[in-house]
Amino acid sequence: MKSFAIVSVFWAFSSPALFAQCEDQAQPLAANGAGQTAQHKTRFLVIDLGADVEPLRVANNGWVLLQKSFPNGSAKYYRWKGGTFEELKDHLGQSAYAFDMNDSGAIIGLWSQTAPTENLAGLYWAPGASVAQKVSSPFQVLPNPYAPAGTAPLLHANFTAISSSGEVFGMCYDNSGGTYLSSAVGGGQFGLVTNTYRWASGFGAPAQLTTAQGSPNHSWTGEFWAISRVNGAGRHVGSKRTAGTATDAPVPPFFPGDKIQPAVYAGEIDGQTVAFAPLDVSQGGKVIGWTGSRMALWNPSQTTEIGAGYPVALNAKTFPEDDGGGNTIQVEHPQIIGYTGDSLNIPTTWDYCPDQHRYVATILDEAISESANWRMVSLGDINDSGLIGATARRRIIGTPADSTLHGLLLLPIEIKDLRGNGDGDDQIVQGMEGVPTQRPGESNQAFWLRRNAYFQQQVSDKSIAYIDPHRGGNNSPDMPHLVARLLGGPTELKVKWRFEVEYLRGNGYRADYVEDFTRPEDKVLIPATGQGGNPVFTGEMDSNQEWRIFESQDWLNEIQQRGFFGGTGKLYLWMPSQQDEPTEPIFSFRIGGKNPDPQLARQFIDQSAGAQFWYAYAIARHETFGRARVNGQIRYYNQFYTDERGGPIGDASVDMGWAGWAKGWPLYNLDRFRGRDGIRHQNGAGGYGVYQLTWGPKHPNDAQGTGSNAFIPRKMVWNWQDNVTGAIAELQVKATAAAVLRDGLQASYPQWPALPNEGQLSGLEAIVVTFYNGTEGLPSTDRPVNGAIRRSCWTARTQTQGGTTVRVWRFNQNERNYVQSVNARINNTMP
Amino acid sequence: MNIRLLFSLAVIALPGVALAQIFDPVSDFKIGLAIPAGDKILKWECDVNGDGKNETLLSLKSDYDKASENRDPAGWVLYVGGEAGAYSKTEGVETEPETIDSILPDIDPEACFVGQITELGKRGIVTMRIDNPREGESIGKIYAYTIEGDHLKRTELAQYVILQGPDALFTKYLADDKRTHVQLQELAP
Repeated sequence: MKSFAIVSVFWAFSSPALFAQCEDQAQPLAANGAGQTAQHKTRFLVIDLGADVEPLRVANNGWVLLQKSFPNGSAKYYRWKGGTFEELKDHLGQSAYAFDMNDSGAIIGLWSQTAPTENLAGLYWAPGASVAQKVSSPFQVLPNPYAPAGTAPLLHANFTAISSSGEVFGMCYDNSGGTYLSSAVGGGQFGLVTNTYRWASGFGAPAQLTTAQGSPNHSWTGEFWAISRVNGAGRHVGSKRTAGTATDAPVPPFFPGDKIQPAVYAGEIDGQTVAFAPLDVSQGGKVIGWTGSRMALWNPSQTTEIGAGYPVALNAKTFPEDDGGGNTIQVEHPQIIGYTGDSLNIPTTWDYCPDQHRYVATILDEAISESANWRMVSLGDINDSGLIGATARRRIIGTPADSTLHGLLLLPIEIKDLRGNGDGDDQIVQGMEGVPTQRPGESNQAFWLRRNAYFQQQVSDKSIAYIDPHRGGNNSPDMPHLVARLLGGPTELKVKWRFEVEYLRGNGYRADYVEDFTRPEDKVLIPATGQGGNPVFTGEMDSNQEWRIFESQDWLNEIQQRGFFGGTGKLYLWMPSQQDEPTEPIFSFRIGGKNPDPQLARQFIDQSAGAQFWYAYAIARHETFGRARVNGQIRYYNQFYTDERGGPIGDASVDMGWAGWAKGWPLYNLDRFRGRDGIRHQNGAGGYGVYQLTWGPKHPNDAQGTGSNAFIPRKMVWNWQDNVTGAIAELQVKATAAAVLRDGLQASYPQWPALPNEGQLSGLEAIVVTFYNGTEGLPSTDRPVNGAIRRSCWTARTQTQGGTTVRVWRFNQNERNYVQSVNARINNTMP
Repeated sequence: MNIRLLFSLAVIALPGVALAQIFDPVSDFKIGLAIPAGDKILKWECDVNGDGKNETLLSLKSDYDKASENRDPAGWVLYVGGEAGAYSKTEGVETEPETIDSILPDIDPEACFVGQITELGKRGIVTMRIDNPREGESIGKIYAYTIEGDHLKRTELAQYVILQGPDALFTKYLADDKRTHVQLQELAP
């Protein structure tokens, strides 16, 4: 059978109350809502397996054991293999049940009939076989309590679990006394003595694991286990029954005169009694159990309480930790699925939070976004990749959920930044909600308010793939090494990917007076656009295959041709079974940057500036002054914003440098002014990065020139070294113009002396620095200088002192007192 | 010196002050300027000192536009109207006592009042500029220019935070119903 209708995609995320503790430190909410803490988002690809389907087990190879129910109460079982449904057949014409599947996809189950000679047998479906192998009990039980004396013996075997190594666990009536026991549990008041067995592959003679023993007077001794889950190392969990004290209670009518000897019921781990109900065991040997009201995570050394709830399954997720000797080791902290709520019916996951060393719950149903169209009902299993088998009902927001139950597979999507080239420094990027789009009928102002709040939230570091400031050669910056993959995706499932990075200049901040200076190069498509500029997807890939975005030729070309880039990363996933290309990303996050080490930045600046622009570092210090702090201390040479907000941001900002604050994105000065009417206006594209490069025309559609008369290239927005290089180039241009002005002033005002110093700067250098920032607020010379009236920081002054006329040069600070500010940074002792 | 300049300039001796008598301010204005092709000269006239004779203010349109782009008031060369159609060019601006800066007065024709300035007890031009610091709110600065012999004197009348609404002096002199509505003429150079 081919795939049922696939696929919907949804976001699953924790509510802030549940997950905030696992995030980086939050900042207080701003009055306009900007700056709120981002919600952690786990992203899933959701595959709808169809109606009336219930996932029972999820193997590590991505296969799923399914039970499909029919209206007449019957059921069929399927093995889902990445889009193909394989019906599990027994060819025996009787009732068959499937219980467990190991990580190779081998399945065990049970065959039953009412015949008195063999009423139960084990079933085994090999990974490549759709027809079961029947495995009968090796023990011929006599006398057969279900048949007249002297007739055929009874065969009775029951498979209950299978390990990843292929060992099968179950129970047999095994003639251990050849008689019955009475039990107060297990669904009956009587039964034959049973023992627990383990079958190796090939199903030869099983190994006996328990030693329950009956006796002619129907009493019994010992214990036996009903094993429900086994890990690859053979650790098993389940229940055990131990012979209790005989009583005189009534017995079943066909064994008159016998006594009841009830079994004592308890949980077991490897046969050892535990004081809770063990429900699943991880590959690392940890066991999740239920105490009657709460969940307990057991390992041989300790039992840890997880919290209220009822567990269903756990996996073997690991986290890198220090072994105490400076070595990084992988330590298992399983993900757990189960239920919470007063009725223990709310599907929930528990994830280990390494920062807090504790588990944090996520209610899946609440976590599903409005667009998911599913209401979670039950959970079946979780594999080691975090792939969850569940059931859900369709829902349309505002209407009751559909009554039909659907089986779902939730495949986590992972973006990883291989910044450690495969070691423990690699970062799994946590998803964020996607960029808000304008709703029909929504005003621009209302839309901007929502979107500004989105861009200006305190994004967790975990949701930012950072441009590393020094990982490249000679301490140059390096783009993130992004890899996308579907966790737990079966080989048979094919997918196509595409990745888009979009940046809105000005860090996306918009208001009535703010113009959009975004350039075409700010949007990057991987793979590169096809004909007509339309996005294209990769070719088909196995779903478990990594898409190494950072190694793709288009990614490399993009960097080589246009330099670094950042913004909102959007990952799209397209499955061949989907008719239409997806229009919404399945995973969103942020590409941002980290600031260079101040010492290394200073070295690079001094090296780039040379002796001519020895003061260039002071410009950078002033431009980045106060924009980032470390432990409360001012940090200089910053290309990017950090958590630091030195004042109100967004609409409430009074400082141009905080208006467009967005964590991890470039320092941006929104060049703006108020007119006489008090209304704000934008005055050009604004400044970016270490040097706050303010390039280009005043308005987005104005004609561009070259150099700093063109809009700032993307690479200078995202690469701190390119930003420095751009600044030095601009200083060179300004130096040429400054020399012309100096010479012109001295020609037009020949009676005045040579230009003096201004602070630590020579007269010429003071002009260069002024030109770098702009001539706003400067007076005009009253004589033509080089053929024109000039706005000049130096103007000729005549003073009358005691009847004597003195001619001096007056230095005029521009509107922003820029030279004064740079002078103040020259003598700072910090690097 | 070309013929036109010889025609436009005449120097007369007055006690204590040597003023250049100018009969064609526009021609004088162009001296020393390399006016770009296509540029224009902006001109407006008003009686600044109340002597019944208009003063003439001139600027290049390209400079005016550039200043506007930078939110600066334009710098104007001011010629004081005199007898018999003659003008004298003001030389510098007094910004401190006994200090003359060789600069032009910055006057915003759209925020400009020409007339009696009661705070100074004399006639002159009231105008303003707005400073937009990187940190903090925009600051409005209201200035007065008065003619003091051969030069202008600049007096700061008020500073105020733009966002907090118009200053009383803005309302008094520069509000739409109080300001002088300047008509700029564009002249071919």
